[in-house]
Amino acid sequence: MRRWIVLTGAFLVIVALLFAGGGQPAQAQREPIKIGAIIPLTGPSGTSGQAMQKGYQLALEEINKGQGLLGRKVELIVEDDRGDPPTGAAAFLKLVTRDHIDVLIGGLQSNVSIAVASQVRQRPILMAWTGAAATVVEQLLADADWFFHYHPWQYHNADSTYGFIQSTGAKTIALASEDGPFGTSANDEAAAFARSHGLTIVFRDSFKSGSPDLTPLLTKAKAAAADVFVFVSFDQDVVPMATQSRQVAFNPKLILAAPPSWPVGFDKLPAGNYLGGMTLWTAENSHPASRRFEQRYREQFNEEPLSYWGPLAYTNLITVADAIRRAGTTDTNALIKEMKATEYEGPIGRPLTFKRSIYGKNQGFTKLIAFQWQNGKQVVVWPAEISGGKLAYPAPYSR
Amino acid sequence: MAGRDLGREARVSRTVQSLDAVRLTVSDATRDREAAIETFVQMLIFGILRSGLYSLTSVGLALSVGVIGIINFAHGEFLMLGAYLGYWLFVSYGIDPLAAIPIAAIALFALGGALYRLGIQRVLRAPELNQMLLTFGISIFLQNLAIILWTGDPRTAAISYKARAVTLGAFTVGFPQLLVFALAMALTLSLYAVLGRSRIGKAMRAVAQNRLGASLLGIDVDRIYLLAFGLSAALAGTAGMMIALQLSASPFIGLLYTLKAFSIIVIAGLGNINGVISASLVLGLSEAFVEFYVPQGGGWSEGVFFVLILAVLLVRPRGLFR
Repeated sequence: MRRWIVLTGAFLVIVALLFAGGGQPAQAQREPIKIGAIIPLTGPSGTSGQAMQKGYQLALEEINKGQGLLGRKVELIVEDDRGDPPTGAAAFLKLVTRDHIDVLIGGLQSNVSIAVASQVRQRPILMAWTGAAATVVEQLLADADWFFHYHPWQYHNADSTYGFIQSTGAKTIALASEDGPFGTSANDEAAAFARSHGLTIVFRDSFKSGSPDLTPLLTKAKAAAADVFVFVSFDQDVVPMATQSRQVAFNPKLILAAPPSWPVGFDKLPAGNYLGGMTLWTAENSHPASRRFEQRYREQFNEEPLSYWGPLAYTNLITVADAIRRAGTTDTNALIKEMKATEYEGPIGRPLTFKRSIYGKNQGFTKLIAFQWQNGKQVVVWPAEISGGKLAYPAPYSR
Repeated sequence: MAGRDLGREARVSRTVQSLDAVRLTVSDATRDREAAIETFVQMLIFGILRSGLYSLTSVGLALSVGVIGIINFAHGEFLMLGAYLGYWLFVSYGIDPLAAIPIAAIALFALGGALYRLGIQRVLRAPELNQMLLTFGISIFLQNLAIILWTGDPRTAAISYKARAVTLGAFTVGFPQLLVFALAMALTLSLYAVLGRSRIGKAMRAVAQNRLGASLLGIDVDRIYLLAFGLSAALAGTAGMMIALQLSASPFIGLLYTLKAFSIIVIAGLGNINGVISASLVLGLSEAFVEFYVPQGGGWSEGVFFVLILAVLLVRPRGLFR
């Protein structure tokens, strides 16, 4: 009897050891791969952040439809940074210390990106980042091998903007920019980029974003009689600029604005017709991958993808998933190697590879496209190879 | 002989040319002067027009300061809610913001009254710091509520006449701005008339001057406070409706207008409701001229109200129009 008890006890110990030791890898394999995303779901950039979340959702469904990655499901943990730098930094700490994420994605505002990146520097992890255009972020992360940046930097934006203006045949520019970091950095780089494209800035002024009355500024710009008026500010300033330009009969050959997103309802505003804009993507993009994305987005969420943040976020998660699949592991060094080898052509409509930029090691997209509001639609007018319509130049504002 | 004639002709022609040059220079200078005067008058018009909305925004704040003695930091958020109401009524039911003004006034009056009963009334005898903290808290609450409900993106009502202009001789004026100015002035002057002539207005003035004395005369002070706070919110809501008419609704517009209204009531003299129109003109004109005549003036103009507050507080603390 005693022998039986000893044998049974030994058997149980062996089984327990098997489960505790040999069973451990099997358990680990069932655990999901955790990807953390820091995006602004509320705050001034809330709508763009929500579009990003929808882009991630579409990508995640696609990834998890089969076996997931490396035989494991992918779990996406989304944190709301509210457009607030300390909240973004705290979100990262939560993601690495409590959720134990394998990769960090997301990002929109430059100020939040600085706060998050400062934390990632202390706990390096693959940071596949969609947001931030301010060059100061790039300088801050110049030596970071683990930082992969998808969005063009401010100087890429400037190069695209002045390249497009040059293509119209314009010679002179009037530039008005908001006096915060966004407008100031655009203003600082303007003269050099304009010159390099054979353009002259004949008027330059700044204003406070949120100002309800821009008529004095527009009257000054009108007196400069430039071919193109470039307006660098946020969505809230676009409406007074568009309506008050009509009121002071300011009719340059083209008004070009580049807010990060456009106000809700702008497509229905008659004064917005023929305004030009610079962006990474529009819903009018005719690339097949873009069309597929747009259709899925519409079916899933019963709305149109209005900004480029949805397709950019989708691209973000899909390319990270591809890198994990190729690497066969979530080890950061292996992922960095595979991210560098990324070659992807998705809904943005142009190939994505990561190359060196002026300061950074891994830069994704470098070109914007130009569109013109024509009867409520953002018609792509530049570059010619992807344009979906003809630029109305001079724009018939006065009619 | 012929050579001498030719020489004289050449001299005459040179003289004529130089006279023409002088005439051209003189006419250029005259044209420049005329253009400068024209621009000056145009800026004057722009400044006057923007003062209309400023006075409507500020008169409500002046009312709550003057009658109740409380500085309401949530005043701009009432304006923001009015702007959203204007936007949603237009988008959902096609109601023009002008036609929706009574709806905004009633809705914001009710909200102001409720907030008075629930919060303001309880801190009236508390230290001023408590009052300020309460209204500041309400401001943050309302702003975040708007962000949660409608996100942070500006929303613009595509009203057909939003960009329309009216030409008055050599000058161009935005039609919505002109409309807003006329309405704002009509409402502000009506409020002056109500305060000056009606029974309720006289009661408000009595309470503003001496709360205890007024209550001894049989005036229901608490009811007057409720009315004044509700009316203040209704005026802000109406101003918000006018924002929806001209610009966009966004959760963040409130602070800017609270600051402007605050500087106007300081310029007018705290509690001096009658000085609001003049003080609004001072601010509107200062901003327009700084924006146009000072290099990079657009950036400076929003600081004008800080300069004006400082100058008034240092030089004439009781206000310029008291």
